[in-house]
Amino acid sequence: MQLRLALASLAIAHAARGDTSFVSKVQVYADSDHTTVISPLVQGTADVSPDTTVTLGYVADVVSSASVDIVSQASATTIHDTRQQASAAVSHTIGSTKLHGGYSYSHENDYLSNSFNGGIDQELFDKNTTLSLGYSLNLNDVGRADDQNFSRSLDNHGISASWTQIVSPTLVTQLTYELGYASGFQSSPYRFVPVRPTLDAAPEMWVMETDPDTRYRHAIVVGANRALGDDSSIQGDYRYYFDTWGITSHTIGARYFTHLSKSLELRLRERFYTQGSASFYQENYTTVQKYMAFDRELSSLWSETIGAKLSYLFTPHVEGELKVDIFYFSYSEFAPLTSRTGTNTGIGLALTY
Amino acid sequence: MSVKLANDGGGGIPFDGAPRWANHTCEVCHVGAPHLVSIALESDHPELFTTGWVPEQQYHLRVRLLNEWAGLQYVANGDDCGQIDATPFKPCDDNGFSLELDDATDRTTGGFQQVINTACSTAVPDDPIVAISKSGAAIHEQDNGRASWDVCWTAPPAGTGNITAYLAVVDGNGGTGSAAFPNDTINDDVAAGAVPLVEAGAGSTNNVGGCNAAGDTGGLGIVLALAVFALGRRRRLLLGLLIASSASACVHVRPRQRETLAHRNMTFGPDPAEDELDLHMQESREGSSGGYGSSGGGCGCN
Repeated sequence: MQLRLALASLAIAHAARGDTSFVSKVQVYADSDHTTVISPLVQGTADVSPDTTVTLGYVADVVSSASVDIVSQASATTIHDTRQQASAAVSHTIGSTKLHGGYSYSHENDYLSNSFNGGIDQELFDKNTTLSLGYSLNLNDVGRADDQNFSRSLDNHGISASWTQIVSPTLVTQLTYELGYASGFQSSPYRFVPVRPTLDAAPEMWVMETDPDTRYRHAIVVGANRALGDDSSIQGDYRYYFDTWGITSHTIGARYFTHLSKSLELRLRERFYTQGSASFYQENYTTVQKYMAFDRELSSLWSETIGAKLSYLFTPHVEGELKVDIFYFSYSEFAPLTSRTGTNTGIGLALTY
Repeated sequence: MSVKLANDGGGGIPFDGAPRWANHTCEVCHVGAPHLVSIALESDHPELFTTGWVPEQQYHLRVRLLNEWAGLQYVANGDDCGQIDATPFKPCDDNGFSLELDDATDRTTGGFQQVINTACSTAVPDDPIVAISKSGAAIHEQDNGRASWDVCWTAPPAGTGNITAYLAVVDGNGGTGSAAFPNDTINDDVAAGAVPLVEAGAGSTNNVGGCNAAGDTGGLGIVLALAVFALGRRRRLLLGLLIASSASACVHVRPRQRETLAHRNMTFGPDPAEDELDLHMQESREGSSGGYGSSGGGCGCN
């Protein structure tokens, strides 16, 4: 008998992973717009009781930038800034219900942020379905370096709901909706907008950037994770986003995981992003407007990111990783910068028990 | 049908994870397994795992131990091993398996036959590779160095309903490699799992609320359909999401079928720390945010 093989899928996790872990990473972002960001991160998670887990974390962004945002202003310079953030989170499981909450404090010389979040995850139908609800509050004090009189506030509220559904023994899907509401100062205190008859003309005046004070954001994400055999899987997701500033965007992401050996895992990733401009954004302002922005993030743009990550299991409890992402941004409505390329590299070490 | 009866495995009990063994697997004795190995069940009729089993049909099944690592250095010894009076003593690459197919009442169903020269046979081989235990499970015989086992299984009569295949494997490490301890249950590896098999043409009962269980392709199609919908008008998107959600809610996957889903990479956001760093970078360079979790606080103005 000729044996035609068909597979019924069974696979056992390659490494036992518990809730007690220590993670350390360093990522380095560098782009062709003369910006470098070094981001160290440490995070520890431990079970303080059979049902309660606590996570503590620290992350920093050490920024050095001579971006066109900065050099196009009157005081061309290279800025150096450091953001530091400490965070704590706790989760508690009661039967099929998980409650979780967290707080983070972020500080840099001209920006202070306090963030709170809480949520509930409910498993249903023999754990085939998980429904999650979450709320976040982010309170910010926006300052300006060397200007003690400049102080603005910005409050961000976020409500999210997600539905995670096991579809088969090898497929799980997720649907997420998030509503965000921002109220307060959302411009950059450092950016000024040139007013001039044409893009080539000398500015007649510089006006401080003014964005609307309120903004509603809507994000809908659908995703799927699919196992491919015993040692590989693929993830895909799509996000549709729109807001009351008139920005609409599409994001498509894909990740492929495969074990090159028992201890070595490769992840390949791809991410495509495209957005339209905000309704009040203009590449060139010929007159002073109510809302004016010199912000390429509010212009039409698209970007593509590809990357690879290698994770190596030194022992069942010690894992190291190395990753490289390469990205390209294209700006069609921002004269000072038409494109940007760069890399995001990182190393990491995780201890899990 | 004539098959060899055996007592091998778990002191006469084939611990393959079936409910009648209180869901115990080989790990009940082979303790401390690191779970580096995997297991697979294959058939000459692929539709067994999709449209289901056909009454009275005979299937050629193969249980495979994947990613074997323990005792590999002893493969060359074959069956020329384990003799405690031999000098020098040769350890064995001693692997094993257990397979049984149970109906909804958790009793074994259908019947096993031997495989001789790749064909199903009612004959009894002189030196069988697979044996049928007294309890109705197919298990290994002492054929060292083996990582796959073939057995034929004849499906039961129509109307039996849903069947579950329970299977487990042991990746033996050759004991301590000495005559004093030619075999033991320490430092071996173990994998186990269960495969649901519906009765073909009888309508699936592997569901909840009267909905048909969706296959993988259907589920993926749901997601792709959503992406297409999303490129249209917002109302169409929301309608698409509702349809997809309703469809996926009909599916029921049992806990014992979730070994693959338990993998780190089958979770959404398998590396939250990396996601936080990446999201903070992305949200400071794009006009959009939301939907992928928290990116932390702070300006992100650079």
